[in-house]
Amino acid sequence: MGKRKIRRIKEIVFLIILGFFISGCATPGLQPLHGDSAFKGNKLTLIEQAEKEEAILEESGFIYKDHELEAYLNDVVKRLYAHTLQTQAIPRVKVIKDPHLNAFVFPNGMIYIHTGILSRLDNEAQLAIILAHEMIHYMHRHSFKSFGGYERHQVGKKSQGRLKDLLNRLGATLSMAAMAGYSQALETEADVEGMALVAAAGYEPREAIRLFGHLKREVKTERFKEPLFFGIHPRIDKRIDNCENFILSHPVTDNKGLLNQDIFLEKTREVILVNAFLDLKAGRFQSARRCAKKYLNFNKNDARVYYLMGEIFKLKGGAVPNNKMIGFYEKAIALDPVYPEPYRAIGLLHYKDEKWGLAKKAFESYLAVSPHNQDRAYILEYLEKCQTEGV
Amino acid sequence: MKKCLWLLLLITTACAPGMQGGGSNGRQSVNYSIALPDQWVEVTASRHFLMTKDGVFSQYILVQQRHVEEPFKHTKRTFNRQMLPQEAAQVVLDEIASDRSVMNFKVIENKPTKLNRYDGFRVVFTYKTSKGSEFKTTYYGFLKGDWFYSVRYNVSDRYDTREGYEDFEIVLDSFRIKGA
Repeated sequence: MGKRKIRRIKEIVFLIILGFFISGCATPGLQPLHGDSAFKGNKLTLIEQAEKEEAILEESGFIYKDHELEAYLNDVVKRLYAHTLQTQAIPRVKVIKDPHLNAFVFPNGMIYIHTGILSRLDNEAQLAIILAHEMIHYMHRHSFKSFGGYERHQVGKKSQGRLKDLLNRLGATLSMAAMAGYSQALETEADVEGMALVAAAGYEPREAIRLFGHLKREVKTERFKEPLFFGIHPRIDKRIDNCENFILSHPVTDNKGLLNQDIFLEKTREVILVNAFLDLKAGRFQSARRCAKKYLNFNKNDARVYYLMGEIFKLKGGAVPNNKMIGFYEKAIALDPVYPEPYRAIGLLHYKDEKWGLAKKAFESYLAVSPHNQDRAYILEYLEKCQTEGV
Repeated sequence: MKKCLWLLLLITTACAPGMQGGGSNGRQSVNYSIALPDQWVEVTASRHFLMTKDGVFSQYILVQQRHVEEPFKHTKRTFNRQMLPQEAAQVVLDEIASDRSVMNFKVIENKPTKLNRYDGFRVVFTYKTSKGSEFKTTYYGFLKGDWFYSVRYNVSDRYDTREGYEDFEIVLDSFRIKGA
């Protein structure tokens, strides 16, 4: 069989598959979420529950407030949504301050993406892959199938047990259930149909392989036990298989899909740094360092990232000489002399080394640039000791 | 109610896993003593020394002792023997901040203090649960050798009275490390 003929067959297969995907996304058997009697009872309760939990999350302090970023993420959703035949409400996206690699969707179409996963992405195509996956969960009503007592036979027994356990343990919250993921069949459906949506919207679907490979490495190096975006069931290897199968079923083309790397990195730059500090709090030092290095690629003149690097080395422990940390803190001070934290950090290193004069100088500078900081009482105590011991 | 209890257990174990008064727990032997104020009842002495006056959802005092190398639940950060009180306080705060069941977490106060005669820290913070209940915690802690000790008073906003803090003072004043 000639190459041209094979290519032609591949194209036909692709068109058939695409037709299947489009009809799949349209889900003609499903009704709009609101204003239909078929969705009373369990389903409406799920929507109401979702709205309640959305309100709780909104007030929880976990939402990362950046209107420009939110608008950008919602634009990506709109672009994807335009390639569906859906009539239900368009999904919305918000960002949660959480270093874990996760994204989830409520039955009312509210998608939450964690700073953890957002900060690991390289471009808009990878973002679209994640958002499309969540959109399919929403548009195909996977939450009703899993948590609404609807079509339970589609959900594996093991999954039901785990979800039930989770729901019971954590107060039956929908958010927890959504975060934990769905059955393997539903996750695979979201992967495959999400990929079709990504391709239809003009994004590069092959980015999925990079994305999952990238995240897989990170899960391995940090030894994460993440029940998260990878779901309880189709672990990351299965997700990679789903994406590879999708890509293999498409004709090879020289035309690369959209990546939109520059705009993506411009919009998410701050998230990378914010997340690095969250990783630091969670003691995930390698992740924090990776984020800090990524941020440095875009902005070498931000004092915060040098302070962060110093803190990573300090808190990680091990045989790191003080000079290394001090080098980072001094760089931060050189870039922003009124940024207080590096002064305190230098002061603490010298204080513990009993270099009273140097510690005193650093603490005094800290108080000079930040006289009303919450830890003032500690600093005054250190200064008193420096005074006494330094004599 | 059952759900709330789970949440409370999550918070208590998450915020500082630990101890009790007068027994042993695996490799940890409890080596402190405290007094129980009038009208307060001991809820459990198995793993934590937990006491309350009106029920644990209204207020409780929790006394814990944990080994410095014992891992936390929500942060991979750990204590070390050389830490200053401020650094130890930061580990505790990072643990709580990394706990997803603690919402609207706000630190109101963080300062050095003495617990009994040991240099430590005092942190006051507030938080909400997913059910909307608001709590305020006054947390004392210090490191001594291989151990971290903490005494905290956790109170629901509806039970936040002066008398509660007076009772907490009694517990703080009575705190002793055995043999020290």
